Amino acid sequence: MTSDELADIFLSGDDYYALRKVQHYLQTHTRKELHQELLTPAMYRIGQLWQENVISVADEHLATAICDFVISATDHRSQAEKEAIGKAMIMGFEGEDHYLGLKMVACVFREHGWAVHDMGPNLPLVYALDAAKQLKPDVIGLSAALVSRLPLVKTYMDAFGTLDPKPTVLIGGRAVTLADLSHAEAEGAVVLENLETLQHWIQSRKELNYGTSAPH
Amino acid sequence: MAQAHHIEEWPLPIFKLDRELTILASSKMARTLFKESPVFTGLLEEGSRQKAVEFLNPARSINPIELTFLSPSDEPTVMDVHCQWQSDGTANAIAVPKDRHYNRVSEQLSNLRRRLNETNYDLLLEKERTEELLQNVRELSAPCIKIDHQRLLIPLFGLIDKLKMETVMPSILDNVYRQDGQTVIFDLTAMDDIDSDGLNQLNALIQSLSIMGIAISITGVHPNHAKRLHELNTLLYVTFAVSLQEVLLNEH
Repeated sequence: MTSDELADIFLSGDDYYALRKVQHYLQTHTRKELHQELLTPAMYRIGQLWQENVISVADEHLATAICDFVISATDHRSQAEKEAIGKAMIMGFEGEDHYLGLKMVACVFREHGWAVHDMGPNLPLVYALDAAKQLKPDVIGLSAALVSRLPLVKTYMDAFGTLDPKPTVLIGGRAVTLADLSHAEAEGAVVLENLETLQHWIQSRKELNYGTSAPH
Repeated sequence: MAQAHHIEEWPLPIFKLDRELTILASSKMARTLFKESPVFTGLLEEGSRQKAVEFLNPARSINPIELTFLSPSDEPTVMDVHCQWQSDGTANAIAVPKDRHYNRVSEQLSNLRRRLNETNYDLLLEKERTEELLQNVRELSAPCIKIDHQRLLIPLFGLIDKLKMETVMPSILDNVYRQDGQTVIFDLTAMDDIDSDGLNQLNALIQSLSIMGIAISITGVHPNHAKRLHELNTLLYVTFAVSLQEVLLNEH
């Protein structure tokens, strides 16, 4: 199955057929491959079809809902969270309504034995800070699909810098592939272009922690 | 400017555009609903700009196109834009809001999703709190009570499983060592049940204590416990008594 075919299935609105197709794909592929090679390009394709005036926003919303369903239905939740090797809190910037990427990121973290708190998209900084103070995450992941949200990076980072213990800030989403974020990297943020680089980051962190002490 | 005046009062956002999509004139509605900008693309969300440039040209504008506009407070609104080009190279464009029902349903859907997310978050917080409480309960379910300078009484409470034993073991060993006790009495009266992992851990604890030279008594054994305790392979280090009273009398 190609990602274009999957995009057509999403647009047809047949949720169970989409799920069956994806489950079949998962028999020979990893979940990360599903997210990166199939779901992400399928959703980019759907965005492209809207750009080409072929489909309407309503079609796009339907496809998004079905993709959301497929991600939830194939998520891996058996990991006992009390034995989690780290805690990640992930969110979308205020004014950012794209949330599928967050769900995929949550899956990757969970698959590597982390506890994940997905705060959803469009999270105003006040709430984000409140939640971070309570949850004390090792990592805060920020996602932006719209380049127009990137000026908020500095505001969010400055705020998270005041937390104790200070979490590592990860920034991802489609916007980071379209804009230059070297200023955020200079301030200590880790910029990740896709799920693969996220996976590498998680693995290298694990190796690092074996040398010193585990975060928990 | 007669023409511009003409579109001013229309009850929809209307624009007069040139080929570069500069706004030559617009209706009052257009100026109240959208942000201020000299060019049409400036009214749009970033994802819509390229689409507008591509489709709003004389060669293509037959079908309406959907574009996302930004309100003065940056709220996105999707509208259908109908456009017709004139022979003088200008265009009349009308933005028609989507069916209200569609907006209502889509808003409701995103509210529902948000609520699910919030519930999910609240549940996670509750779960963490419960975990903490459980840990507290575990720590409290094997208190070390000093009876005299030689003897320690350790009542075991509730269900004894691996996690509970792992939690209490270090503090028991530490207590016994610090208080320089010689006898430890485990009282099982309040013990609910013990699973096989819990039993293994208890075994290990008894072994550790006997290596430290401590005498071990177990009292308050219920018939159900008796069956399980059979499986202990450290029985030879342990003496059993019917009641705590008996242990206390015997050893004095």
